[in-house]
Amino acid sequence: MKGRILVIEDNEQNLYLVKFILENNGYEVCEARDGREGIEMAEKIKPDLILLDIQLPVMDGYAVARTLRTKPDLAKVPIVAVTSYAMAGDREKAIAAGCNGYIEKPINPDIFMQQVEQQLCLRADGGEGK
Amino acid sequence: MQEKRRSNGILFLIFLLVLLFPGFSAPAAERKTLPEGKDAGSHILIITSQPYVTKWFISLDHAFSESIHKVLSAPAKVSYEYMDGKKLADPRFLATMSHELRTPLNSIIGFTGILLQGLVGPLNDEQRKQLQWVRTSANHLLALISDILDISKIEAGKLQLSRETFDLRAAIDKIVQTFRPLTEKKGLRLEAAIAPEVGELYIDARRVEQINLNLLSNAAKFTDAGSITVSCTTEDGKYLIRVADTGIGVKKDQIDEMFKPFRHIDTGLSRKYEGTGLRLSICKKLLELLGGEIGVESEWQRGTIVTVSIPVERRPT
Repeated sequence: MKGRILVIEDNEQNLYLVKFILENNGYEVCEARDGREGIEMAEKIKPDLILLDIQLPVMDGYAVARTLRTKPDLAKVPIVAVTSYAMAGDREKAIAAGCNGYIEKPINPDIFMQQVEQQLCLRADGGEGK
Repeated sequence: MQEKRRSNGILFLIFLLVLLFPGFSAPAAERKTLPEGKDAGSHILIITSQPYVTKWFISLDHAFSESIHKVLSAPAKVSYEYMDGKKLADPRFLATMSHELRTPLNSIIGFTGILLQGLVGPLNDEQRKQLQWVRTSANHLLALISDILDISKIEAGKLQLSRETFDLRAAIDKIVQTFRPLTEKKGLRLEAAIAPEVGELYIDARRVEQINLNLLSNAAKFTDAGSITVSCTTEDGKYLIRVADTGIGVKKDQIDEMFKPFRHIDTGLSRKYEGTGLRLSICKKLLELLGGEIGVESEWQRGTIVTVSIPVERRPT
């Protein structure tokens, strides 16, 4: 197992798609369907990376990222926003909320793993890998 | 989730009507899923640009709710709102719709991609060919949605330009290479002539690439025989990019019309050539923001020359 990735996504098909690609590439995937569940799950499993949808029920992705960043034991976990918000400034908003990266939907399956692994590598380079 | 998928389908269908017939009274629907509980069903808001269409929907109310109910296999609340043409073209409204349209496209493009990668299992040649068509069409649809989003951002004055050092020569070479397979397939000659002095610019690189892409896409789309020639020169502190084709051309009195969004459809061109005709209007608006200009010379059935000028600016030192 290469690592554990938490996917916070409310759309069933999008979740299935991302999970399918990650699992086929050797990652363990945990899932959460809304913002609050995502935070609880992150605290419980301490993932190596979090893929975060922005438009979520209960608590949106920006709020989830801000909350996760207040938790010392999760502070170093890379958070990548995966969203179909594509207006100017959305990327900046996600970064300002505490995300490390941003992948625009529709995701491109040919380069998706490369985009995810880039964030995992950045983390490893920072000397924070387990 | 079944409901959500189906309501996305309806939303999509109705939104397409708005895209295809902007001058008419096409209805648009906005799905508002009620936040609490699965049994709450969907809220479908029908927005029309003509009061009589709203009345017509209201007269159908019961039957319409019933059929929605059947399609969604869940109770659906349907309400109606009249919105005039101006409001329908509201950039925020279009941006929301573009966002909604990307969600189902994520599934289409994503699952087609993993099937084509063979992650699910080996494909036979016929399956591969058909899936490639799905992928091409889905990417085309995505490009159209991006165009609509762009035009709405520009019209709202919300488009933010960035600046970076950009190698125009390399960019033109690259775009010509990108189009080579397509032009070869159509039996067209594709030539590029870039003057030796053409080099770097300090500009929004992505937007200049988008302009080049749009010009070449149009030339390739509207040319069935002959050639496409791309040239780049400098003149009076400006870079001039010219794309000349031997395609269907445009009648003189229609040249100005080409820069109006959706013009393509009114002229019936969309019957033969896919698209909304948004590309040239996007180019024109982007060039206004970049301090450049665009001009078209054309002869009906002979060909078209599009000339773009961009002021040469270098990174301040």
